Amino acid sequence: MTGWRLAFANLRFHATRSTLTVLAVALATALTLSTLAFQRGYERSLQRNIETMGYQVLVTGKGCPHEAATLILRGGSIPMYIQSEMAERIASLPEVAASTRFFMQALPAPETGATQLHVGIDAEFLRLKPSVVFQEGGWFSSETAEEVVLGYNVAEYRDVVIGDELTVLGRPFVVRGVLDQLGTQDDGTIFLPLLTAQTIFDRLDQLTGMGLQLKDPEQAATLVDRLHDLPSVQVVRLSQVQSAILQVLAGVRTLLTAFGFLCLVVALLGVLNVALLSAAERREEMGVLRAMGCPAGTLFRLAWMESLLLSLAGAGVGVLLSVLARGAVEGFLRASLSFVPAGPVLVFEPDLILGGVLLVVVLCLLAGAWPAWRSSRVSPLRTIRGAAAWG
Amino acid sequence: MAVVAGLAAPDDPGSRGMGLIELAAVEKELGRAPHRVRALDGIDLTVEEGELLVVTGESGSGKSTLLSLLGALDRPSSGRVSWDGVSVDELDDEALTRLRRERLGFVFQDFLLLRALTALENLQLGGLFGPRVDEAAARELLDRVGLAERGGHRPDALSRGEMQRVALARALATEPEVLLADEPTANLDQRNADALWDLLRELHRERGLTMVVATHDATRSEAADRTVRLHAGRIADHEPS
Repeated sequence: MTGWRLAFANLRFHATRSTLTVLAVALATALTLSTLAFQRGYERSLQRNIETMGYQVLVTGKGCPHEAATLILRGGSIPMYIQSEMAERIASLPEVAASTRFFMQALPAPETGATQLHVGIDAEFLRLKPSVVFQEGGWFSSETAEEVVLGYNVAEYRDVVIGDELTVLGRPFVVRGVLDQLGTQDDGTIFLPLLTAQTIFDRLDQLTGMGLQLKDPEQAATLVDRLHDLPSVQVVRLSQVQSAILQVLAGVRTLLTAFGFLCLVVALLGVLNVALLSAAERREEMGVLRAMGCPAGTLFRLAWMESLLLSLAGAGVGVLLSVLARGAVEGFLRASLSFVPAGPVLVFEPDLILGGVLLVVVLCLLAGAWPAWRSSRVSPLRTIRGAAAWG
Repeated sequence: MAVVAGLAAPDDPGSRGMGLIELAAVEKELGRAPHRVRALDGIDLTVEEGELLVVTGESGSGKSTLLSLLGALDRPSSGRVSWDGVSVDELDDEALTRLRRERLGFVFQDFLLLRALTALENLQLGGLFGPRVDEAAARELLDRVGLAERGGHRPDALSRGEMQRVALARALATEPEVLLADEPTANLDQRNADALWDLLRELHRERGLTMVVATHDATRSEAADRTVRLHAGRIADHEPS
């Protein structure tokens, strides 16, 4: 007979109560882990999305720069433009090492029920984005070619290969290349030569924006100050975009954290309730153990083991639950949030799981400590006298 | 034989000639003023090693209070309770706990088996805080009380008579020097009560165990080496005197 065996037997004896408590702890664990995984995954994916853009400063037409940056990140159209002449001026500024210009337009895509993003790009695009690699094919044959390069997902769901034709605005385009999977919004984009895109959308000399790579990233503030003086352009550093999005997300994170915290409190109350009930129901049994010569410290440990078993079982089920429900939760978040970066937004890593489980177990043990202490203080005399009517 | 700190072993030359447990001018008051009750009043009693002492008396006569003092579960309000000549007043709570663990076994009126454990596991309970009670020894004891086939049953699957026999086996599993039983047959029918008394007598004979049994049934005194009858907290009769 060991203390673990006794604790397990007691929990099994009250199977329904124990199961419900384990489920409450599991739910709290799953929510806590998912909240932590979301915070880590979202921030990391956002960071990765921004890094793969290949530039540090984004210039767009006049308007809210953060809205523009977010729209570009999520692949939307911006009804504001920069003139080509202005773009030339910006590209020649001394702080700028390289720049890429683009023209974006979203068109309805009846086959998916959403919109399809079309982006006109110039030759600098590949130089600024070293992560972009062709899976098949290659770059456009000319600046005015009626050709497209497809993001990985577009090529997948349209089931096209190099040389096939694709219709854009009723005109046939030849598929010139397919990109490797990047895990960003580029996977869902149709790329065209910049001049071709401006022509078919009737926006010659107009750009949606341009990305600037700096000679020295420390000069970003100086460059932004200089660009602010220019008329009809907005400028934003991508690091600011990241913090702005994370600020917007802070509300959601707070809500999730509060919800997770509430679940944790409910679970802890469950553990406390079970431990108190157990202590109250087993006063006689505890008294017998005391009468048999069980030290108070051992009795405390025996009672506490039940809380530990409940919390470990709950935490284990919770980890399983959070990992199994990851896809569904991620889908729900993508459907509910206004902006979710491409890539995994729930990242479960060993340190996070260990930390979450440790938090839940420690809190459950704290909740079980007081009832365990009460159990250990049971007087053998009072209990036996009450139970057996001594006197 | 286990020796509790501060207590001389029974075979210590210094303890020869003394009883195992001695009560001298013991008084015990229960409750708080103004409802304080004197449960024991001027008790002088010696429990000799190896004897079967039966304590009789009506309900409220002080039998259970006497057992609680003999069993080191409580301390007297005045007077002296000593084990092997050492007063329990000289022992702290930890030493009293050790005394109970190493030298005493208890059987209660309501059996008080742990409901979540099987009969066999109840016998092994003492191993949680004392020397391990191995399964073979526990099975042997169950066999001795006639329950060899019931080891895997939990208390709710046992009759009351069976439960009390398991409780008796549990008390013996830690190989105590003294067995204290409080109204062990009060919740049993006549047939089971007789069987349990027979078992107590046999175990007393076989093991030379010191036993103190409290019962309201005066007819049980015929089983005893000695009988003490309590009335209103005092010793009314002592047989043989």
